[in-house]
Amino acid sequence: MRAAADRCRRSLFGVLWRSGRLYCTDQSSRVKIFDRNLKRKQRDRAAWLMRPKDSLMDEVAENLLDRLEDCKKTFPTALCMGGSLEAIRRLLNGRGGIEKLIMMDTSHEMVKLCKLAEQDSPNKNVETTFIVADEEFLPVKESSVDLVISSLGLHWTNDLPGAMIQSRMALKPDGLFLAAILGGETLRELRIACTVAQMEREGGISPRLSPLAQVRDAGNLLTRAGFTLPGVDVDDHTVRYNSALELIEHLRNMGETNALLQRSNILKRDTALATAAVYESMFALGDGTIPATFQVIYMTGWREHPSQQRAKRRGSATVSFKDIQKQFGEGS
Amino acid sequence: MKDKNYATTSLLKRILVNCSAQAKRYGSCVSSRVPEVERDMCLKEFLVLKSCMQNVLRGKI
Repeated sequence: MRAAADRCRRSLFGVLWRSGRLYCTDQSSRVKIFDRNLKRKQRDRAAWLMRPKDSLMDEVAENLLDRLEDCKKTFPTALCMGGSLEAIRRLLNGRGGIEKLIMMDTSHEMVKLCKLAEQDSPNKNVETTFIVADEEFLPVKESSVDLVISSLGLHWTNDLPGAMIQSRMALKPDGLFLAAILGGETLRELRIACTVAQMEREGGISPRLSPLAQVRDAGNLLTRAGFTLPGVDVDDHTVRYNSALELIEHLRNMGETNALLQRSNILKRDTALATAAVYESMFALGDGTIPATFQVIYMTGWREHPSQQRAKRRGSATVSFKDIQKQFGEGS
Repeated sequence: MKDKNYATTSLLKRILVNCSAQAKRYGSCVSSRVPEVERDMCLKEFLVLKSCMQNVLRGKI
């Protein structure tokens, strides 16, 4: 009798706790999509499991750091936020003239990993400091860094525009913001296979992939955060795996597993098996491997500064198109 | 915990390797009927796959 009452109370408590966000007062009325606490724990685990050189993360980090070489400007102070921190630190190679590098992540283990890597193979002429902090609550003074880099980290923030606004405030005038996030096409095969298999096995679906930004939204995000001279481009990487399980293992090693608040904690063995089978049959390539798409969106933005080009006022043109046409000849 | 992780993944891997024919049949049943997917529409093929999986788990294969 007592056991039953205990169970009843516990289950009621469980229900209230799970919907507790409706009852407890939040600091803000922001929408919470991701469980940041769980994401931190997943990243702790990923810090132990991560391979020293992950080709996907290395390629994204390399692409991001390449953009530093396109600028004549040097960036003495740089802040590097979550995602593939270690790859950025390792592949820096003195680009961008960075003298002081601040490495930041929500997960303590990740920061420890970077610290160990720094001790093993230190970056010459770069003074590195490590902080454990959240991207949505930047502990950086306003106008204090020249460069903010985030490689594959911002797609787990609850408030992406807010995080970008805070990055902009942290930048000095004429400071650069570089970010790489995963886009809407990422893992579409996995999304389809999960939905179909779960529909067939259980008759309903629970969200297994996080909502990801579309390419067309990236430009809006940059302008909304107040960055000038925004630039967006997309890269589609297709990675092949021997089976769906290897894909999941890879995601786990990168710390990219499901952290949605609405996720179902249960994955039945039947459903997992069905998903693997459906993935193989729907998307398998000729040689028996399965592809997975990773769409990476690279965003660039600058903090406003008087030296930057600005669009001219309407009606201030001094040359008309007719004159230009006359200059270059008719019929061209 | 690390060992438990490895054991589960290699178990599922063994299942998929040993039951690849049944998995292929189940997979093609489902993929041929996409996008109209209903519950238990490929139940027969799945039960065959499931019995193969249970055989692997029991150590018969």
